[in-house]
Amino acid sequence: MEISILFPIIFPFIMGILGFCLKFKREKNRNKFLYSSVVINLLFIVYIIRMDLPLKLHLIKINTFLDIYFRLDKLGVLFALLVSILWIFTTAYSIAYMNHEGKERQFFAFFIITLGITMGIAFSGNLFTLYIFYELLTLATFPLVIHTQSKEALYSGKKYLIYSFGGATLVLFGMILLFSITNNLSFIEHGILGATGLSNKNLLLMIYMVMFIGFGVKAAIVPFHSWLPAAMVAPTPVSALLHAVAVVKSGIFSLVRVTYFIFGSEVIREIHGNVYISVLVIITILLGSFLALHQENIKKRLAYSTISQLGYILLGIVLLNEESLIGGLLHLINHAVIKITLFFCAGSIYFMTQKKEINEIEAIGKNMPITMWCFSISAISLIGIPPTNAFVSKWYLALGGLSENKVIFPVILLLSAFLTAAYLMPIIVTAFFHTEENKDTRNLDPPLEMLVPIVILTCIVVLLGLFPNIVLSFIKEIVHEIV
Amino acid sequence: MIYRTALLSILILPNIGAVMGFIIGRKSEKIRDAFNIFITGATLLIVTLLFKKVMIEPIKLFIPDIMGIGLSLKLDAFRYIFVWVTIFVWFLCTMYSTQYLIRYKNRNRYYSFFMLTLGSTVGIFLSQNMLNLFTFFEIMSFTSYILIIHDQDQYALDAGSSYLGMAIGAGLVLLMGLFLLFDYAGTLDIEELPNAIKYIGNIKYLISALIITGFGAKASIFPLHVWLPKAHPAAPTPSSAILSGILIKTGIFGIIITVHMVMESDYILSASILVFGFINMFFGGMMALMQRNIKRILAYSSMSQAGYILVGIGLIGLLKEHKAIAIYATLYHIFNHAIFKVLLFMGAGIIYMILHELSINKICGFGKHKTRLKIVFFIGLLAIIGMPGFNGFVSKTLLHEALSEAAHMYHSIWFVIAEIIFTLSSAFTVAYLLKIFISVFVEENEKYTGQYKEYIKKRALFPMTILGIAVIYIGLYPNALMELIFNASKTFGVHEVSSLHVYSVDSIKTSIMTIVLGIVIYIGFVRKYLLKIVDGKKLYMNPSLTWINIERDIYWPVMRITFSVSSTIFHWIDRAAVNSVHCIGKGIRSLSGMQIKLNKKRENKIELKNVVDKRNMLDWKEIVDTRSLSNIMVKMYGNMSSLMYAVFIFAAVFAVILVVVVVFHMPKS
Repeated sequence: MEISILFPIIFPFIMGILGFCLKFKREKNRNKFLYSSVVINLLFIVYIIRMDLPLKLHLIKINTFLDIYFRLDKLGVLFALLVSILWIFTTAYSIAYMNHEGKERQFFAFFIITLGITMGIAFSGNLFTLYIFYELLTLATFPLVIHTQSKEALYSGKKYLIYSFGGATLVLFGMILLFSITNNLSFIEHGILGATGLSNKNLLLMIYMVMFIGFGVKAAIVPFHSWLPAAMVAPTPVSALLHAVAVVKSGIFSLVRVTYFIFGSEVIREIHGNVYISVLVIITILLGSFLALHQENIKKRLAYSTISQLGYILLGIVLLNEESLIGGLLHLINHAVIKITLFFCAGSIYFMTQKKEINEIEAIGKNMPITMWCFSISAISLIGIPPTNAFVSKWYLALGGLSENKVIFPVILLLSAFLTAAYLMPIIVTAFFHTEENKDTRNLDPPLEMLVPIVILTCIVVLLGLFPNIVLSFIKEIVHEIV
Repeated sequence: MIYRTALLSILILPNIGAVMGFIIGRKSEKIRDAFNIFITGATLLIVTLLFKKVMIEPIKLFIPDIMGIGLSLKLDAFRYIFVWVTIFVWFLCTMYSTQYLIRYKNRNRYYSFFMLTLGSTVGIFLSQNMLNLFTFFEIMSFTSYILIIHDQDQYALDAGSSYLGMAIGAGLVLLMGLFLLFDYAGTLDIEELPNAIKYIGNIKYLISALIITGFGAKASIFPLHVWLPKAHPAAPTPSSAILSGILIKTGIFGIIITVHMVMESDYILSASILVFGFINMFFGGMMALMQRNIKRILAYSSMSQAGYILVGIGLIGLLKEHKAIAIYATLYHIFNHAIFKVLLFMGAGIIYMILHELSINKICGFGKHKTRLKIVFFIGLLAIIGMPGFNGFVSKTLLHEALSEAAHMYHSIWFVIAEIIFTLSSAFTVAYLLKIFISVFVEENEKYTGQYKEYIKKRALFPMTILGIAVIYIGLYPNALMELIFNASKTFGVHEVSSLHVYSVDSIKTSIMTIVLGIVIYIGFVRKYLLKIVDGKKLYMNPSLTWINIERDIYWPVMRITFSVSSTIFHWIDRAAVNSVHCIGKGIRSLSGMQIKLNKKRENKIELKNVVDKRNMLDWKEIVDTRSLSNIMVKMYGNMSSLMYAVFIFAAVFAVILVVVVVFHMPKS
């Protein structure tokens, strides 16, 4: 039953198009349809995980380059599970949120299709397939970004497209060059190059840099990051998805694939590919945190924070040792959960009160206690305060940095953690402790469809911090095989 | 098993109390207050019952999987001192809070976080693993923040942000130390650490410096004390009492663990702690002398007393085999300071509760006719200045003995200076407390003639009375705590047991001398130089306001400059990609100013057409004249949808890359 690997990829496509064509009489039916789509998709994934693991499928094979090839491995499973679980929360949230944004039919069609594409990225077996889905992802998310179709949204959408396609071109270029050396682009643990490909180090270095920057555009690596804050104009569920789950994490995921499945850590160490990249990554971490301090718009602040946090994950990738990669992958998950919660909270504030700026939300903790509590816990977690989940990932990242004998990495991490506190704590303090004169004590916590995902995600944040071993041991298995 | 459950329960009960109290408090405040007193009382009872067991052997508990490495707790005699005094003080403060907070807002929130802070503080003292300790330490920093800013006015928020900034920053420095420690040792278990780091060399000084900095901010080590004088006056009194009495001790506890348990009383570390102790002792005392806000005086006094404890910690390392006396002194002073400082804060709190004023210029003469308040406050005063018969005397005498022993051992000029600083700081203590006491309780003021008496509730005075009794009891029977302290000193590797002889002619003489010197300083300096008569009123001045202020004049400017410089750089980088594209665009635009000659044939055709319609021709001519590359670009641009545009970019980048490759790589291959 190799064909079953296609289910989670094709199914959302069908459901997306079906949902667009069908005319639901009542909103309730549509919601049921949406819920069942995402839940069934998760079930599909669970189903194929339970089959024997190396699951391979060559769908179309024209030649060794043009080869649509799917393969199921633990890393893909990790990513697919993360995405599809978070997608369920986002679906629930969007159903309530999109009410006031309008054009829901179009939105949900692309929303569901994007899920399928992300699954495609997770299960791609070679670079070519990954590239195809990577491009599709840009196209499928573009309508989501420009959803409001205001001038600003269109401008941001254009920016998003330019950056993404620019990056993708670099990837394509790297891919062609790489193919000329290896004649093979499929993902294999420890890389496909082996010892044979080391004859031309400079060329390899160039290919690696080009590909890293190419995929790094989606992972918002400096200086190709400015599409991310600009894409903030999108509706909140979309920003949450773009930031926390689908888009940026696809970039990161692709980078893990390129680094550990195409090149392999030994080769990269040999060609010193990580040295140049790590400079960029350090700048990314600090720049994100510093510029977040200057943003007054909550969503924008979170966007810059994403840039910095993605830098952490990239650091975990480029340090090329086991501990750092554990930290990186763990942070991939933890950041996804935290950031999606933070965005949902920011979205709820906007949804209920139309407030976007930090100075507008004085004393809002009185009106939206549950939302702001969840926001605070997630924010504290993002800073890296134990016993929450980001602390665990940062712990491993720092140890990874130290085992490279570079004290600079943990120092950067901690500096950035301090800055994270500096840009997140004022939001909490303003929301809870700035007293406002008018005593409006209405309860403005959002409707249940929005509140429940927020609360559950916050619980996950704390639980992953208190009991990280479940995820940690799975990640350790993955990392053990590929480093 | 039962002991382990009991151990876990003293950690969990306060947290349950926090949640349950919050829920109950929404229905009835009275029940909640009673419930909180009950919870702290029950915890105190459990801890007290554990005493016998702890004296025989430590209680250990390990719960796997929590935070990845498991939660490992231990209660031995050394930790018992901290845990017991914490819960004891908390119990009394909870009782006191129920009276103090009557007119405050957000009481429910306050009690929840008050209990959460208790839970995490106890957690710190019980942790057997540095990572667990750090976790509780951070939780405590955050929960106590909410206690400090309880008033939510501008002053409290400022003080709160100072506190939180220091707490988070110091926490991260501490974490850095832990990273390094774990990297070198491979474990964070406090018992295993000494062996694990035996051969790591000089890096251990860096590690300890980082860890001590982290704990030092809580222990208000100079120059990390800046949050202290701001946070105390801002917080409600019960919070400042525990902040001073207990939370400082969490930092002290961390330092003891680091210096004596992990680093095995390293000589250099101990010596530097000793130096910082003397700086703290002197600086805190001097600043306290200048202040006018009672709570700020007491805050600086805490800093000074923390200095005494640090001196004790340093002496333990310096005295080597003879360290027993220094250990007794340190542990005793930790205990005593918690008791008398909380007593003094509660006294200040009662005044604030009634007058909402803390400046001694305004509350002068308030307590003249409030005898009971006066008496308990006076007991606290006698304790802190080390009057024979009160508990402060016991620990200060022990400390002084330890210091003389060190002087005897090392014969260094430095110890003569140390002796002078010690005496002078103790004299400062006398002077600044007299400053409070005389102006508040002795001087006459026609405004306050015994009114407000009904506001001083018995339930507020009751905790103070208990503390007062404790002060006197320990003062009269110094050996009361010795069983515990002897047991505790086993943790430091001291096994011989001896009884104490604090009361000797020498020690009483020294103490009286110091007190007399303090009175001289009070009369000669405080009353002469700090007390000015303005408009017929006696007002205390604070010359230290014009002095250099570490936070205002050093920390902030440095931070501001670093911040603005780095923001400028990062802003530039942020825009770099976009700006360079704009630059290229400008370049192209300037190029596009060039006229392009159109195809002649086409021109002719147009002219032919134009013969038919002259007007049309004119229009065309206009366009033809101005047609340039930019027009073409604009037209193209207008026709392009964003998708097309993206494809265009895609093609352009690809073309550029191909050109680059062709140019640079072809010759090679």
